[in-house]
Amino acid sequence: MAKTINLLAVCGSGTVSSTMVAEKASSYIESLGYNVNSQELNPQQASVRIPEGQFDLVIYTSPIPGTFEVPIINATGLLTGIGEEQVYSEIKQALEK
Amino acid sequence: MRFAKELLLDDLKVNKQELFKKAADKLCKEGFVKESYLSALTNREKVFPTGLQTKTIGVAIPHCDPENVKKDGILVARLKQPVQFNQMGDAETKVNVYLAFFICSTGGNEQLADLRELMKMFQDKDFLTTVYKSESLLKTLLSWKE
Repeated sequence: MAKTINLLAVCGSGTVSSTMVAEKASSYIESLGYNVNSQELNPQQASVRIPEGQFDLVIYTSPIPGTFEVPIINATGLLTGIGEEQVYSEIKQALEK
Repeated sequence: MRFAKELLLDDLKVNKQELFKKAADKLCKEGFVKESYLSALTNREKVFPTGLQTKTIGVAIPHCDPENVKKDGILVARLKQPVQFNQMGDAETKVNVYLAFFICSTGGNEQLADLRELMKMFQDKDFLTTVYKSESLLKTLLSWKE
C-alpha cells in the first residue's frame, strides 16, 4: 500500500494558482509512487491550518506568514517552467526525509 | 480552451491601472464579474502579485476571490507596450508583461481543464510569442491544440 502524502497548495485566493501548481505537483508525487491528497488554501487560512499538523508538504505561490515545521516549497516555477526541475527536486528531497 | 471574441482586449497602450479598469469594464459588461471586481482585483494584485516570467515573454494572471465573480471565464489582453508587474511569490522581482490573462474563477472545479491548458501554454517554447506577434489574436489563441 503506497503512502499517502497530504499536500497543501497555497496561493493568494486559494483557488487559481494553487489549483494549477497542486495538479502538477500531485502528478509528480504520484510518479514517485505515492498517493496524494491535496487541498488548496489562501495564506491566512494556511497559517492557521499548517500547525494543526495534517499536512506532509506545503507548496506555495504566495508566501505564508509564520514559520512551520513542515517542508514549505515555493512552487511558482511549476507555473512558468523556469526552475521547474528545482521545485521537483525540492519536493523529492522533502518526501525522502 | 474557452477563449472568446468578446473577452479580448487588443493593441493596448495603457498603464496597469488603466489595464485593470478596461478589463473590469469589459468583464462587467459581459456579465462575468460583479461591481466589486475592480477594487478586489486591484487590492489583491498589490498583496499577491501575478506576474510570471516564462521562458519566453512575461505574462500575468490577475484574478481575485470568487465572491466577486459571476461566472468562469478568461479575458486576454495584448499589450502593445509591456506593463510592469511584480512576480508571483516574489515581490522583489519585476516582470514586463506582454499578455495578461484575467482569470475569472468562481472557485469550482469546472475551470480545472482551462487552468491546466493555460499552464501548458505558458511553458510552451513558441506559443506565447506566436500569440503576441500574431495578426489575429483570437485565431491564434484558438489554434492551441489541447
